[in-house]
Amino acid sequence: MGYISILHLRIADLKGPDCVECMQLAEAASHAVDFPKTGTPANFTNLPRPPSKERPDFLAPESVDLTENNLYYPSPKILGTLFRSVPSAKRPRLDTPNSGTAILQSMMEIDLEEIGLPPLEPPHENLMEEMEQLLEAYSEHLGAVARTHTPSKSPDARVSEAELISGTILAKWSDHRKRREAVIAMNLQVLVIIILYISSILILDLFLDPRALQLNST
Amino acid sequence: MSLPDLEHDKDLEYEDEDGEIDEDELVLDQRAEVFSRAWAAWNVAEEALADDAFSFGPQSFGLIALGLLLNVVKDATKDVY
Repeated sequence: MGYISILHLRIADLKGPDCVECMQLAEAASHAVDFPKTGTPANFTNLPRPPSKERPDFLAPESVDLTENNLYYPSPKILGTLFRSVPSAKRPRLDTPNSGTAILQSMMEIDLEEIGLPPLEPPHENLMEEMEQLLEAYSEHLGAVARTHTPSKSPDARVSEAELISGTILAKWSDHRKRREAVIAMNLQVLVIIILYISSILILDLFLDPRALQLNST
Repeated sequence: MSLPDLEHDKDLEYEDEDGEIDEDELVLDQRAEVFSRAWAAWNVAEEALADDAFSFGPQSFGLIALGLLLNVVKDATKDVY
């Protein structure tokens, strides 16, 4: 059914839907639709041949860049016009810096002493060094996951940090199943990394009571 | 050679004269420790971003640290109000 319908679209785009080949395909489509009821399959041997190697642009898969591919031509028909009228999604810049100053200002408005927390002073040098090491290791781990799940074969290619954290991959994939599997695997690996580093920040050389962070309920 | 019972040693710090553990004080101290560590982690991430705003890792590391910080604040606020 799919083959017949696509062939109908291709021929109709060049010769119009009332051409002989399209009428023949419409009849074959009717037989194919009725197959579960009649038990008579459509006869594929009598179907018209594809009109050319080129296909109309509206039949191009998601992964094809039409500006660099000569297997697709811009269809002059309404489907082509509609296809090209769809605005392409302008992706926001993926690596937007965070608003550290705004966060700091908001933190400073909290009366920490009143709720029994230490003031926002520059952290101890040793603690900063420890966290720097953690950040370095974290970035390496995250980078390894990012390189694993990119569909690009370029050695420098990697999934962006925003994609890793938001749990999706924006790049175009020709195989949707592979994309789904990559996203699942990536999310699992990122989750493990985050749990590992939350534990490391919280630290495990202290004997933390889970109530301190309500970890028992999250 | 046996490993030292660090948990027991830790508990000793919070025992009163009757050997009872002051759990409130223990929780407060631990909460303050978590806050300080998360605060340091967030600072490290911010410093890394100040050096290179688009470096790989510090943004999400900072988010993790910020999440921990806000969790502690939320938890501590519940006890007061």
